[in-house]
Amino acid sequence: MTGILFSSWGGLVVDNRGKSEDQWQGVPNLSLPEEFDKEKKIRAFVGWDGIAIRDPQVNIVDLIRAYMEAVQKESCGKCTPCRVGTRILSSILNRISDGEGRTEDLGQLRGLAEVISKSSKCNLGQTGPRPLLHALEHFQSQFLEAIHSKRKIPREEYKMKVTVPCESACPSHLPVHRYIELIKEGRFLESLAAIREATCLPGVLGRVCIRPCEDNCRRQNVDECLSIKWLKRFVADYEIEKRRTPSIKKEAPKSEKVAIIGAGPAGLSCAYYLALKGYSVTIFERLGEPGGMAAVGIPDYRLPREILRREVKIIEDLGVEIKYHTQVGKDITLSQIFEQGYKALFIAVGAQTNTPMGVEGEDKGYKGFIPGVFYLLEINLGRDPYPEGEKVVVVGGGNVAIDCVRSSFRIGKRDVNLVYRRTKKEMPADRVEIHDAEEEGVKFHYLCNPVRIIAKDNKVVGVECIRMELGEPDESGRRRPVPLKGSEFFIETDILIPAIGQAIDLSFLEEKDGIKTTRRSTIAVDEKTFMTSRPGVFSAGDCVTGPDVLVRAAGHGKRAAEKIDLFLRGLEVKESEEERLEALMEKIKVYNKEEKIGLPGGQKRATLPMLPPETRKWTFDEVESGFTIPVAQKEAERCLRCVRVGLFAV
Amino acid sequence: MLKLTIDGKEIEARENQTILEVAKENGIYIPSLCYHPKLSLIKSCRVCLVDVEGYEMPVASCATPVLEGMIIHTKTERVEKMRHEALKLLLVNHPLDCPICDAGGECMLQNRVYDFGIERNEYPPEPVEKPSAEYGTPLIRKWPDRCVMCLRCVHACIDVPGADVLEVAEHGFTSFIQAARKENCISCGECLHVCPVGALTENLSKIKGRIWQLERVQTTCTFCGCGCQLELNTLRKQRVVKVTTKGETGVNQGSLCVRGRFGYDFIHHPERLQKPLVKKSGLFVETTWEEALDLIATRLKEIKEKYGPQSIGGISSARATNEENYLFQKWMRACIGTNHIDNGVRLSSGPAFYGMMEGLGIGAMTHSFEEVKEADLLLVIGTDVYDDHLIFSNQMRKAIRFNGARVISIDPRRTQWEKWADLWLRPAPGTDLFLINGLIRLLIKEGVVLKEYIESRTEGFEELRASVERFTPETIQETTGIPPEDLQRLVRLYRSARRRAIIFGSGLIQHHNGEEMVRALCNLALLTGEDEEGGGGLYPMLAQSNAQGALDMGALSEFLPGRIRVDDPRGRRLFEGAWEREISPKPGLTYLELFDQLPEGKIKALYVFGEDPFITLPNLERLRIGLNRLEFLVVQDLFMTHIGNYAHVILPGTSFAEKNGTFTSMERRVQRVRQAIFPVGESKPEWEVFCELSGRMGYPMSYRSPSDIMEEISSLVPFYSNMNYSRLEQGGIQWPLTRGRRKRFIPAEPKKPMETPNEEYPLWIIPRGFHYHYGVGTTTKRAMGLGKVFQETRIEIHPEDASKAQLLEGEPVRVISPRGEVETVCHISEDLPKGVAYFATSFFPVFVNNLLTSAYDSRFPIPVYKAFIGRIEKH
Repeated sequence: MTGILFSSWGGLVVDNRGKSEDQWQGVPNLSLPEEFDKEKKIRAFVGWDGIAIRDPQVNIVDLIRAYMEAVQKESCGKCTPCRVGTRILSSILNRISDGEGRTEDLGQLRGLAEVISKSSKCNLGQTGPRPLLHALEHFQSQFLEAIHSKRKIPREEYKMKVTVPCESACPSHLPVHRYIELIKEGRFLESLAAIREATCLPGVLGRVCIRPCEDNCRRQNVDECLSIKWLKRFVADYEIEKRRTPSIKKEAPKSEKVAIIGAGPAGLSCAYYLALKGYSVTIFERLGEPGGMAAVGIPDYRLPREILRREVKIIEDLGVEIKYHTQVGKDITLSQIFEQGYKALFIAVGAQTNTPMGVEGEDKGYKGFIPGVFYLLEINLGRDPYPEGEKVVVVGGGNVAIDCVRSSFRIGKRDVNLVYRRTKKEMPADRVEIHDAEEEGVKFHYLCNPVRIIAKDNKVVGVECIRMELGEPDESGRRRPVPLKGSEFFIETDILIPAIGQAIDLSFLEEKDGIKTTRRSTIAVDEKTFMTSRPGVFSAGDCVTGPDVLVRAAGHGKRAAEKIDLFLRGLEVKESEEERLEALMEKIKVYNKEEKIGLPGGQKRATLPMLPPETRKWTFDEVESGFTIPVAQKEAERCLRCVRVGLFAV
Repeated sequence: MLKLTIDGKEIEARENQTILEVAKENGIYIPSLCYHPKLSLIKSCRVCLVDVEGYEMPVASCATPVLEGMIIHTKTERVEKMRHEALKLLLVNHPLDCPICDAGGECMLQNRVYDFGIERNEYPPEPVEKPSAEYGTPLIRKWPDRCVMCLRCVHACIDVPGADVLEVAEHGFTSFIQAARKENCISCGECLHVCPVGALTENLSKIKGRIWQLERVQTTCTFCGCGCQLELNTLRKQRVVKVTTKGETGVNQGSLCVRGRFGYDFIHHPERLQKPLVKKSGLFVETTWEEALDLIATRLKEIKEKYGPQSIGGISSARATNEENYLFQKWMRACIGTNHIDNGVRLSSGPAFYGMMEGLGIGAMTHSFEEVKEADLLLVIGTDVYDDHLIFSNQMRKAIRFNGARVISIDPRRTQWEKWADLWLRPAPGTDLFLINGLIRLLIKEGVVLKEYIESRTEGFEELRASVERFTPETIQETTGIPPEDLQRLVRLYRSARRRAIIFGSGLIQHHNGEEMVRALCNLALLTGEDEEGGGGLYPMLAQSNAQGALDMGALSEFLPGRIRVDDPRGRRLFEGAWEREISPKPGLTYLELFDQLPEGKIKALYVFGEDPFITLPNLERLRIGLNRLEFLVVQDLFMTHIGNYAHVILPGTSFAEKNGTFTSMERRVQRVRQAIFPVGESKPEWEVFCELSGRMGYPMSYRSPSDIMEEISSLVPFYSNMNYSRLEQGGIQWPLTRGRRKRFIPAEPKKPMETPNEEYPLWIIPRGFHYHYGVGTTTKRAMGLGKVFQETRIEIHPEDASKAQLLEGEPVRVISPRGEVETVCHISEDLPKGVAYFATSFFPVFVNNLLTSAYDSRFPIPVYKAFIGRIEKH
């Protein structure tokens, strides 16, 4: 049962029925895992784009009946065809399954299914009847037999998952369609409450998220994706502007204490959801400021500190204690933490040191040589890292590099350069950020790389670079840069900032702690449970994944909280079925870039008004002001509400 | 302009229009069900689907903006099939109880099903558990089976008043509309108004009449000054059985508040006076009109001859029509010869009128209701506009919804608008003037002034600047309790706006320094030209349906119609010429003065029309003494009132449903009041009574109808020159503002309050009206829906004050002021500041007015309604 017997996925029919298994054709447009979990196989999958059957024993009539029932159960009740129509389909299918079908049922099913799929308001109703139509076309005899035999068909076991492209793509699985709908309806605080079910950092993510949701937004197949991130920011800001304090429901207090190392996005998220479950949580934080990289790695013009502080305050108000200026390994050891009665520990120290460039002179301790994360840390703590320096060269193409160059103007540096070894096209930094930096007057030097730091009197005076050209693609799929011999040149500078990557400092761990690390110098965890090699010690965020995005760290922090809860309640610590289904959906891929949606568009996404470059580049004030109510509601109105149902026969 | 094609017809359209709008404009019919022009897009019914060439999916025409070159087909076979199918699906489980359904005959589902020729329920019923019939208000009955889940009600509730009571509960076919937040419901009936079927029906009167038996008469609401247009649904011109609104008609655009929609049945209250009454040996006996009118005319003539015309006074009604107010004062001035005429607006909103006259030269709202939606800042001060003037509140919400307006709420008590406010300031009672003067000072300092405008169009700026100098942030903190940071926020918000609307009401006006407060707000508005066209506007909230009209008509001791002062010889001469009588050049006594001076005995006779000083004035003991000294008292009202007990003759009045005339709303809009039923009992329209009396007293006033009276008014009052009934048939007409005169900054100085809390009386007590009642409550208390369903009165108190006085929630308490005490129940609420208790009441039948201080400023003789000192004790 490795191949697929029949697939109508995406309208591409692969029918291997009646063929010997070695002659089965593959299904190129669907990557359907074989196993549901360790015990169960996936016998068939029905979803928004069709049917895929592995096991010939699967009863198609019952499969479609179950799917239709799931769709009706999920129907939001807000449009007629889906609300009533899918109920009627479901009733008829149930009747057939009960051995009470009539021949004319099939015609009625087909007619109604067609109408529903074309006239429903959202994607649920539009895609819900699709598998039924496919089944009626390709499995008509099975349906007729079910009707004529008048036999009851036994109900089988299915696993159902409601999914949405944007939500499936989000590492934190924010309920995007729900919170956008609530904005549309004018229920902004409820929208924010929905977001808080999945993250405690709405104002932060609403500003700095790299927004995989928008990359997976189906609206872009019509015109442009929704401004999902800014809608999130809008509701987070609304709460502040209207002076509301969130009413957050907390479970009854539990006696167990949990310690968390690091008040970054992962640590804070874990703390928030543990506190909601009633645990008493203490966070040990090295700095005097909460937020980790969100605070000291992201400049204020992108993420004003008061936004972060307010969200942390909400976490603290739930009873979470943050012990600032407490460096684990120095001020307190892991053993001491356990001695204080903490029953579980969550390590979320992030990746706060830089990756060396491998360039001559970087280990000499020259004045003016400042790694990117330290440069930003200093600036974010309100200091100019090197006041004598006026000219700045930043090396790297990621968001940290961009943050470094843009912050440089804001502390008064006049000549700001960025050196990147590939071209603009390959730059991993956010497109918008690159554009903003260009507007502000950063000089970009593409296709070159530093080879030697030049210093005088132990101070940086310049950097020697070499020109590069792009060769064959590497494992990341991007073309590998190759140095051009003899093309060395010199850039005069006072400050050289490497920002080519971050690394994890695990020096606080001792051998006796019994926490295994990986060769990449990350903490080794079971990726389904976030548990380390030592029971009761969990870890997530950049210190596990390596440098990654905020929304993933936050999402993993939340999921880790659920695992810690299982652990503390003495239950088996394992992946939940919901997580399993979520993972399967990610593999199947909910968003299809090639899909033709067949709706007229012409509605551009709403963008934020921005301060002009000449004003904004010298200040740390937030660059963009948020959406107003009418703009936000109009933008939310563009949402196609791509809710779909997937059903696994197991 | 865009070019597109609909059903083969080439059409031009504006950008951002929807297909449905364009089709409608061009006479192309697309059926729809859930679409409502006032509401945000719903898209639930799928009846308005159309096909667009080149696109696989049909689109909801209500929600799809037109694009250049679109080719649209509204009647393809497939969309017709989809509409047909959608209707068939809507009929699943829909009871075909059309014969007993209120909506029968005007039901959108019925009409569509009929249009599509659907003859039976094609799908068998789907068994489901019956959803709950519980609803947000007992005034509306919910019929869950009839609901088509169009969601208009849900959207209406959030979009229009912003109450947010309803939501969709559960999923799929079992989903239903649930009143999830019943506590938010204000019974405005917006849901009822938009329901396209009979899923929501009015739950007041059993007799409704079938649609074809009803006559619907459009008229103007009798309650507050918003001037809402409504339809009285009547049976055989005898009985009002329902109030409806027609589409988007009027300033209210089809919306009403609970009073307008459900407060109508006072009209048929059994206590309505049916016949004239004459007091004989201390008892009232019914009499004929002939006898009553003769008696009144004779007695008034005698008194006039014996004591002179200045011994007679009259109180007119701000809930009566313009025509009646005009005639009343004409009769008093020309026939009797007295200027002792006043009306209730002096007490409720007088300071707004006088304050604005002085500064802006306009004794009225500077802008119209609609314009408030253009504002980007709403400064709401001293008015619970959501509770008291919902229709204006609805307009204000548009500024938020469509313009992203910011909101500043200045009120010690948390009101609904606080929910939507970016800043909420809670000055100590009576100290708002410090705050406004301080704001003005900071705005001048920061240059938030329209220099050119101030120079060319105003005077007195330097005096103002000097006068506000002492209102430093420190002073403000000391007096109001508002910290400088909040003041900074206020300045920042004010400064960042372009069009600032200032909305104020009784909470400000009815304080001891009400008039100064209004001056200060005028000053604030003048700084940035908010009073001018293009500005945000200055919006006083007026209490009575014809408050503006009573002022315009000169039912005032010092003003003739058209705001001509009686001591202005030139102006007076015009009226003397027209009325062929001399008019006394001396302003008469005002409302409060008139009753206050009764014990002195100079006033011998009073004619009180639609007012009851027993519920509007303090010091009832003095009032009783004074009334007993009168030789003759006539009271004309709908019901027996407290003052009625002292009358010699009582005349039965008519309600707004029983007569023709006009009201002038608080946005200066003159609108028709139309007779819908015959007068109840033997009651007579008041204008007829005045004519009869005047004639009997030797000064014939003969008019065939109110229309004739309006003709006379328009010939004498320049800003009413446009008004005549045939023009008013087309809809209300706003009287124009003349923005010619230079405006004046008039420094506003705080006055010391008449009294302040002390050990014995530690609380400020602030009476406030509340949503379900109106004014003093004589009518709303007699409306079954309002008076019986909702709580009567309560005192609201902060938890700390409650625990100090050892009071419990809901227990009976006594409210005691130096003047007396009344009973009520206690409600403990954190929405109030410490040291301030709010008395939610209409003054009837609890004599809260008797607790007020009777001291008043002789320059502004009105009672201080909005704050007195007191304590609360267990009963």
